[in-house]
Amino acid sequence: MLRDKYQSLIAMAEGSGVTELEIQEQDNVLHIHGTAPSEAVKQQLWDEYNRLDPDMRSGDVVLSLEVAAGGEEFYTVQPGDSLSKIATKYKGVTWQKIFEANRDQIKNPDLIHPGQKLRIPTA
Amino acid sequence: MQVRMSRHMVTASIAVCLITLLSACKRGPDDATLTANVKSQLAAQSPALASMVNVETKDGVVTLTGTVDNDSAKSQAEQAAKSVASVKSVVNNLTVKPPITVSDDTKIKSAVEAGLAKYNVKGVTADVTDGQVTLTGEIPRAKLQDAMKAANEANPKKVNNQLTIK
Repeated sequence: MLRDKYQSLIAMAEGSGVTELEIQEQDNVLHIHGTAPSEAVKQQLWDEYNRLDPDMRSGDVVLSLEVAAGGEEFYTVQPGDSLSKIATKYKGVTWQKIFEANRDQIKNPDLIHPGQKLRIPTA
Repeated sequence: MQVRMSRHMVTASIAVCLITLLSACKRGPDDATLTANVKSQLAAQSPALASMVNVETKDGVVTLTGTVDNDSAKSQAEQAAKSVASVKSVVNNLTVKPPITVSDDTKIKSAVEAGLAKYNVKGVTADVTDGQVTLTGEIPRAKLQDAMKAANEANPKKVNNQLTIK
């Protein structure tokens, strides 16, 4: 069963507050649908899927996660911004959290570019 | 003589009774043991399946209840239970989840394209046939997840990733 292959991903989804979680194996594809409480949780699940299937070529998972209302917010970087400056605009959000949520587009936390759309995780 | 004969007969019938009792004892494991054996057989084949199936045994008859993903999981559980020694028969009361409904190809395609734009993914083509999304093109590894998110979040039947990862 694919549920065994992706056991760690399922456990993570079940343990991280994903609501309306539906998991079903159909026609040799494991469907995991649900609503993640935040962009960061969604990203964590994608990283786990990516860890299990580095090139994502197996074609045996459909991971479809929405982010709960309020859980997803974007900020467009302005000239002169830094991650710590942006973080001060959001209550309870640290620059480290913003960095973590945008690892796909930020390699060096000291280097962000005007126009970049950063995901702002929930506090 | 007649008395002796009847004594022999009594002895013989006691012996027959004992043999019957012994063979009854040797008949096999009790119901609780059979339940445990079926559970471990299921777990050996698939821990996930074992966790979704309840097993009860009465007089050697195993009853399976619970909800599983599909018909193949339902019959796999039944076969696993039948393969356990001393199980007389299996009552398969497992229910199967209703199949996931998938949108039509046109809707999936427009959802994937909207997703690719949202995640700012360029150079990727999405083809949709029979509910399956096939991604082609060239992509930097850093954008692979975004391309896959766009495809997965259109809720297709399957995603075929034929992207060249640079």
